[in-house]
Amino acid sequence: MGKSQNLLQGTLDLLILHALQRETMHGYGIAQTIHLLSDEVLTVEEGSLYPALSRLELDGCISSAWGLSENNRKAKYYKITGRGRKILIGQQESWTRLSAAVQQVLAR
Amino acid sequence: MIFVRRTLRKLLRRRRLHAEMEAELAHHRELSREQGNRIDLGNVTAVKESALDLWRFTLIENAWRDVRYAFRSLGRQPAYTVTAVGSLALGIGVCTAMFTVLNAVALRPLPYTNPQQLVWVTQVLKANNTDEVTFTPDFLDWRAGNRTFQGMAAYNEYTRSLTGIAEPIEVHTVKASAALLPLLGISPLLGRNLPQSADFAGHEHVALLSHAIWRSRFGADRSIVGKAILLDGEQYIVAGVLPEHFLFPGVEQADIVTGLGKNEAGELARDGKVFTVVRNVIGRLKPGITNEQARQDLMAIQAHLPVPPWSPTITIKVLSLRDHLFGNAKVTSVVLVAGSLLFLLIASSNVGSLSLVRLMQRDRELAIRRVLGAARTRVISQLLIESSLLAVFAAGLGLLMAMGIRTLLIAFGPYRLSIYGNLPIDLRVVAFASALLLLTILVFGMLPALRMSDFHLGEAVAAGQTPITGKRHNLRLLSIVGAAEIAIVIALSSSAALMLKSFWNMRYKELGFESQHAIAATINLGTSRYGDKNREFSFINQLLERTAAIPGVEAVAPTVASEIPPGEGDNTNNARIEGRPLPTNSRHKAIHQAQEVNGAYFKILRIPLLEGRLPRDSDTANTLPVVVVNSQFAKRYFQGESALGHRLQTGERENTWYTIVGVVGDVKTSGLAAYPQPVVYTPYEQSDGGRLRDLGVIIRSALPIGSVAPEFRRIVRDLDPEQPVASIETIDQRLNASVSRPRFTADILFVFSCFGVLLAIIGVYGIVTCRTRAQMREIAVRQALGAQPAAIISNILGQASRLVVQGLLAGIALAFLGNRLISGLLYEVKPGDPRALVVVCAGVVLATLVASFLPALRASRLDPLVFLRQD
Repeated sequence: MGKSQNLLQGTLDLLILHALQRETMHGYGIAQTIHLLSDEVLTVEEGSLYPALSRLELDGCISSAWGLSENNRKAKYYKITGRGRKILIGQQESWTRLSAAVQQVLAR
Repeated sequence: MIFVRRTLRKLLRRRRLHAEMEAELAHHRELSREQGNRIDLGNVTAVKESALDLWRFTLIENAWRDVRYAFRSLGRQPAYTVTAVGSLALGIGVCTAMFTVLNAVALRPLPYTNPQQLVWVTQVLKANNTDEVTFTPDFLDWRAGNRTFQGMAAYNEYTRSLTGIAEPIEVHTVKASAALLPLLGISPLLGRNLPQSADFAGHEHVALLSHAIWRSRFGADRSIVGKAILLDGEQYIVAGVLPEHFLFPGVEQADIVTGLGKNEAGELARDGKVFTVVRNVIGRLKPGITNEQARQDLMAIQAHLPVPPWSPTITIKVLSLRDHLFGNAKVTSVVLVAGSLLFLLIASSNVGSLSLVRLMQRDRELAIRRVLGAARTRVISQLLIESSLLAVFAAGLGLLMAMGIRTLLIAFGPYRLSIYGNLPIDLRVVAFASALLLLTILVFGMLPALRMSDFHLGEAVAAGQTPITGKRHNLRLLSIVGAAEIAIVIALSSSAALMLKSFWNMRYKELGFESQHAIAATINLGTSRYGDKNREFSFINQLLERTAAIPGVEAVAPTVASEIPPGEGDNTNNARIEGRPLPTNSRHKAIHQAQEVNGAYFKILRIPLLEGRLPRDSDTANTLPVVVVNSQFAKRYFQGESALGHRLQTGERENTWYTIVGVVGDVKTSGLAAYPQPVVYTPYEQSDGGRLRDLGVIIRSALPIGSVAPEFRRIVRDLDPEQPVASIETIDQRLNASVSRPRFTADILFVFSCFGVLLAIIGVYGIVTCRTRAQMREIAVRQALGAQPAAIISNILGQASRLVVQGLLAGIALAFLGNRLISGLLYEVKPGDPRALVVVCAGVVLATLVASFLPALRASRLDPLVFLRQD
């Protein structure tokens, strides 16, 4: 895993949903987006990414469809659902609260 | 439901999902490579599986794999599989079949409206003897004055001849209140119910036909309603036909129901001019009324009613209709179900220990699977699936078997089980069978599986031990199972032994006569045509004469049909002995059973003459009236002195003194389960003949019954074409029929216990094999150090006998309990009969020791070096 940071349990779902809110993407695209948005601090491994995608799809937070990728290859594209958006809002709020609380503790 | 549907959909999409996931991962890696990113070194399969795990495939796939594996591994050991499935199926089949009987007699609601409100009521009259009949006027007063019944109906049963059809037959008829069918909530299939007027004398000539007789004798003629039929020569108008599945609320099914026809005004006058009884009163209680409240109510009415001149003590009995109908069958079926459950318990614990033996042969396979990383739960679930598979097979086979046994029960069972609605297999039976299935899985499946759960196979293999039975307390559990099995077998077999002995005593002990070559025929001479004594005697004399002339017939005797041994006779007479004061106390009256016979009767049945002479053909109406008594009579009423020469007045002819001319041996004539009663035999031509209208003819012939019966029927037809022969069978057949119920119970218990012993042998064999295998190392070491085979064998047998002794002690205790349960069914056998128990115990001990000798012998022949090197 090198210098990159381990993801806190449960935050991966939040990051995936957040990334998908911007646009419809395939798995690799999601991993890359998170990696870039975090200024290359966070790396999402396929071993955690695909099980997470599976789970989210089963939960009905995202949906998937096969399409052609930028280099003209078949790829599975993921898209956030209405239910996913709702959950994302809830998770975002609780994450903000949590991180603020952690900050506050460390600042004193 | 949603889960199941989703699972199914997922299963169907499984292959596609796998392919898609692979493609997706490949795409991911490709892009990574192209863009110069680092490629994870993760295992593609692992990623795939962890992603797809969410779809819950593994659980189902594992289960499916286990099932296939179980099929294969059961197929590899056909002997084990057949034994296990066979014995479990037998257990489940027998249990379920017995349960259908219990269900029919005790659990299923009777086929009437609100059957729980129905009761059977009778007066109990105690004087010389106890009678359960109700005086008609009292019944009428109950019906009018009670506050606890919605309605009451009465009926009496009569055997009558149905004539005017192709062939005259005897039918079982009932004279019943018109209120009976509405009370039960039954309406006729065709026509209408008996009219209210049929309750009154002179209007009773209306009939309802049972569905069976309507079909068999009247060709299911739908226009029968309104036509006339002939019963005992009298015309009855058919009012209707009863529904097909109608169950008459009596012990016997009625072929024809006619009006009760009582002179109600005359009965209620209670002046002795009209006085009859009803034998069955059926009532429907008002909602919420208990049997006891109803009884109190009727007793209160009874208190104001006059008591007849012979002043019996009158009490009233109120039984729920079900208890009246099925009381006896209920006890027997409970005994049978309990017996078969024990049997199943043995079978399944046995298969449990067998599968344990099998498990031990696979210990290395299982240990290696554990070492290679199979989760303990996976190993256990696989074992459970194997045993469940066995149990399911066994249950399926068992149900088929139950249906077969059910057919046999209906055909051969002594309880006329067909009248209980052909023992339907309903929801209750299916629920019971499923419960049995669960029980078997629990008992025999959990046993070996649990054993797996508390040891560490990997370590065991590493340490070079035999892993599975390495722990002592496991062996102890196994021994307890074995001991329990032996205990159950002893309890079961001792009950069976008692029942057999009881049956034997009943059937063969002290009958007082010999039944070989004796045939008994019965004929009901109706009052309408044979009320005239001359006509009756001329018929009887001609019949005897012509029957005696059949080639091969040695002797013929008349008697009263109900008194033919083993008899059902509970009719008693009082006699007055000359020279003794008129008895004031009923105990001093010479109570006896009366029989009208000739001299040949004693010769045919080989009843010994003890004193004096037998009746002769010369003892006729015009000669000195004589009687012969049995030794009970002589002993009871002439203590010490000879009965010969004393004179009696019996009920036969008013004011006629009969001289006792002979004393004969005692014969069982009140059923095989009762002791001989005092009997007075009157030469039939010196009797008043009335009782002989219930005519029995005893024939002695070396010919088989098959050649005598048609001749006899032909003679009767020649004498009177309208007269049916009620029955003709050998005395042996009658004897067998009269003990068919105890015999049935005894036979079934006997079969159970035979199988039980067989199963116990298999069980002990399995257990001892397990134990010796667990001690293999120890035995091998001892042998290597010079122990003789004999020492090894005696050591193992010693251990086995400890188990047997424990089982024996528990079994004896259990046997006493079980025997108490059946004590009501025993005749001349004490429940605690030590001889039966000793025989059973000895047999079981012997059998189990033989069973444990085999593994012991095998262990003693073991080559220690081979075994020790194995580790």
